[in-house]
Amino acid sequence: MEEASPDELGARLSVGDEAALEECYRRWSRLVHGVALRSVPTPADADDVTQAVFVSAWNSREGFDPRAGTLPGWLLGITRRRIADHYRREGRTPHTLALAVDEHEQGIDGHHDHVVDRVLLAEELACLGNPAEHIMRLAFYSDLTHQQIAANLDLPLGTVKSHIRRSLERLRTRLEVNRDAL
Amino acid sequence: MTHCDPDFLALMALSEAGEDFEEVAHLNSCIVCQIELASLTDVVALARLGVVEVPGPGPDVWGRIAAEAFVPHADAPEVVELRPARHARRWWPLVAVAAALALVVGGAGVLGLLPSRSGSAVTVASTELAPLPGTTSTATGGRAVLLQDGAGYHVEVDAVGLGSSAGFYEVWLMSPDDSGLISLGTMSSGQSHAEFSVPSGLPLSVFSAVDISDEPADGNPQHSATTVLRGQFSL
Repeated sequence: MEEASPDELGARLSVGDEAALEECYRRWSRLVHGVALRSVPTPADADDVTQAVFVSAWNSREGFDPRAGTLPGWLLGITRRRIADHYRREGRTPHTLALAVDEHEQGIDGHHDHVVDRVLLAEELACLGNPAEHIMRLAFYSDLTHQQIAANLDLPLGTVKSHIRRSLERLRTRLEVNRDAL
Repeated sequence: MTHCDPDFLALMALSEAGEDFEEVAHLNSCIVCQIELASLTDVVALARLGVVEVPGPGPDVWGRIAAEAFVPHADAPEVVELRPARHARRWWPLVAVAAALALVVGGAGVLGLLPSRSGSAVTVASTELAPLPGTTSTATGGRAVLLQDGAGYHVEVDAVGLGSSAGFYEVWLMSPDDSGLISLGTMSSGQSHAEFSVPSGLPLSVFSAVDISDEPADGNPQHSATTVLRGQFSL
């Protein structure tokens, strides 16, 4: 089954294609809901935040700039603002909001909870586009060296190396943006 | 020397053994390159933890979003949207065929049913219907749309090629692993469109597959195990 590329989806969304929003929802509502669920008390609250995020995304669709980030990254930015709104409505101050986020970001033993990062990383991996996405999946999950990947995909060694470097740096940036936004 | 080659650090982060002596020697003595490597190693470690499954939003959330975001024009007549959500271009010819068939057959056609529902309905999910691999049937494809309106959930089914059957066709909502199923109703040979109400309170996230089976008219209420079309809502 072919899927629209995130770029194509972003373009369709910005011109007001309702089916593009539905496709965004199908692909990234788990990410949005998952992030929301770690900051609000109940799944019903996370449903409310998810609803607000996709309605906001629709209403501000002309503001999406593919040069500034990916669609899932943009949706996560909106998610944080809608979570803040949610707490504002509940009458909690930004200070307690920060505490609440902090409590959720710390696991019970005090370690950083990686679940949101892992979900986001999977989404950003899918946004790399081929051949970078294919190369990185082989590098991460197949235990192949870059020489073996180059041979498998019939690509020059230098091409594979630079895809690996650029993709790793890009994924790192996406994760940093996400963490900084907290 | 200058700092390590970025390509070298990326490969080191992926645990590929560094063979370049000069690069390794510099890395051992340079805190800047060590920090750079550590930050790339973090990304690799995170990726290698694998994909996590997080629970998705409730099945009604998309309907709420569509109802709030896609405000109908005040002067437009209130109609049920039959907008194909995905694969729009590929799907249109099938819709045209289905609509034409419905008109020719004169049954419960797409157009005939539109005004019957009061209030606006929103699309909660939609799926293409296709024959299961390795099965033989005259049915070639179709589409099922899960709609929500004030009265609850409805499933609209368009099917192409429901030919002569053992008795009749039956439409089901099933759990994807076939462990549970609910009959929605029946369709007859040649019928291309039908609409069914979903029993209220049915957990749609469990019964998320749409199945059309060929049923002998033998009075046995169970699924005949002869599936002619199947689809899966993403809920």
